[in-house]
Amino acid sequence: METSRLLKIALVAYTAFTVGFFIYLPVAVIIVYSFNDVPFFIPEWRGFTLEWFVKAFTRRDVVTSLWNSLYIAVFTTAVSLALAIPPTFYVVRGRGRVKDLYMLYLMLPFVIPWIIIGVSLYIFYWYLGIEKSLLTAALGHIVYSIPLIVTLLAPRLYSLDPDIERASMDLGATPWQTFRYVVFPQVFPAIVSAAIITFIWSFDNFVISYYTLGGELTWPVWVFSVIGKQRNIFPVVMAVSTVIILVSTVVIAYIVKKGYVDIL
Amino acid sequence: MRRPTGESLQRLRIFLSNLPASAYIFIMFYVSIGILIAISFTVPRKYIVEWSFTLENYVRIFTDPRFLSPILNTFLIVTVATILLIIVGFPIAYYLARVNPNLGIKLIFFLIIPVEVNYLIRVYAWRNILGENGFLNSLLLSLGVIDKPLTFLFYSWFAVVIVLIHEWLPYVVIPFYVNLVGIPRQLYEAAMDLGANRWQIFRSITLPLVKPAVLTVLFIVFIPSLGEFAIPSLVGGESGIMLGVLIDRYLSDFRLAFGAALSFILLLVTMGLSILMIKIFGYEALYQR
Repeated sequence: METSRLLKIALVAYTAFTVGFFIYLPVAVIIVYSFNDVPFFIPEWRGFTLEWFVKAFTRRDVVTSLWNSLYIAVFTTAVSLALAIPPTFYVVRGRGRVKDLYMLYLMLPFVIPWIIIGVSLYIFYWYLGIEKSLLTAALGHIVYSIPLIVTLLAPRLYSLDPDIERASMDLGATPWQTFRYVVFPQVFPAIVSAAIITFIWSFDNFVISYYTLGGELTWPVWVFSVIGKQRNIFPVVMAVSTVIILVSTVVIAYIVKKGYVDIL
Repeated sequence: MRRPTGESLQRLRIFLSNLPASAYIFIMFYVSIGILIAISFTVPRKYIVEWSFTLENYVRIFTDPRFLSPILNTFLIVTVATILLIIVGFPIAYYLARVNPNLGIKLIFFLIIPVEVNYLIRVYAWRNILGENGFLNSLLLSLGVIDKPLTFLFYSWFAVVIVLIHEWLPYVVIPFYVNLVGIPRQLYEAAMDLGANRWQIFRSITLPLVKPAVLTVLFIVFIPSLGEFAIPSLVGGESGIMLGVLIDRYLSDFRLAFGAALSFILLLVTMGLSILMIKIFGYEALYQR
């Protein structure tokens, strides 16, 4: 069919252009110009240097902010997973009006803009006189991470057969043993992918951290605080981004290849 | 064999295992939102909260065009960006799911890589592309297409839309892809056997069945973008001002009552839109994949 071949060619060209050019343009700019020998950004090439990488990883504020982001993301992911797994089962297995209302209760923090969570916690901490810190920011991330994990895990749990769990219980396993040896192995890939997404979102979260952090900054908040003000900071930011792209691509490729995740 | 107490024991177990998450959400979300709402009805004071009820903040917001126009602007920008996102993203998902399924997963992987760079930094990279001394302008200048730099490209609502599209495109392609892959091939074959042409198939099979993906996109792109403040404050300039920027302005000035009132309006609007969307698309669309 002539038209279908034409359509195919058009779609290939379109996809290649949009992904290759539009999506990757800023990323390419960041990677290439993180090696450019100019202490600020200009759209011309002045020679290769690794200076910005050395500078980035010897600057205390940069390194600290990266560690802070890591700390918050790990804490958020671990606590949110522990909190969110039981409600996911209830949302999937429960029936009736109570469950529907509970679902709404749980999902609301997820279907509103993050700035509302940030602002309300900002006022909440201020009103209760709680001093803001890395912990208060992580506690803010957990608010949206619980419904996020429920959303990510629920479709997977639908495909579990409850009869297998009943069989395990009938054979004398405790609920914990049933979860550990029967349910957990089946949902493990889904839990890993939920954990990865929760981690990345938390690591990258700007707006909630912005309102709930104390004096110590995370990476995105640090970037926001310097990027408009210091002209010569951008090469350093680009260098860190290049490293982040490299590391996370390798990690994600490894996890995908090992088959730990099912994205779909 | 169930013991007589099995049923109620089971219930108790479900209740207790759900308790930590429910209590957490209650305190950290519902209570703090409650405080926010209460404060939004107090007299506007700087640095302090004076507990006397007033509608002053809301009256001001709804009568002063300085507040109304950013609110309308927010809707305009986010609606335009969402429509464009679906138009730009759907063909990619369609190509991956229907035309070249082998490439599908791999390309999804490539779509995720740019997301690894924090969006603030991507925003800044856009500034170097679209800005007055950016790539695009220097290219057009050197080609002689223009003789002075184009300024509407940056610090404008145009820039906000471009950056929003760039930020969210992967999140639009993936749900559509997942949705399209899930449509059984037999449906298409049956339609072709019955003599339907391409357009009829697209219209009566593909379109109705991608409804869940549209709903997903509205929930993960449209709603969160309504509260965006970093993008418009970095690239929006005056014409790209949004509600989030206003909220932040009052909050960093520590005029809490007013900032809280603006936030509550945003909350009400997004909740209203969410309910409307679920009414239109059906509750089940949330579960379907």
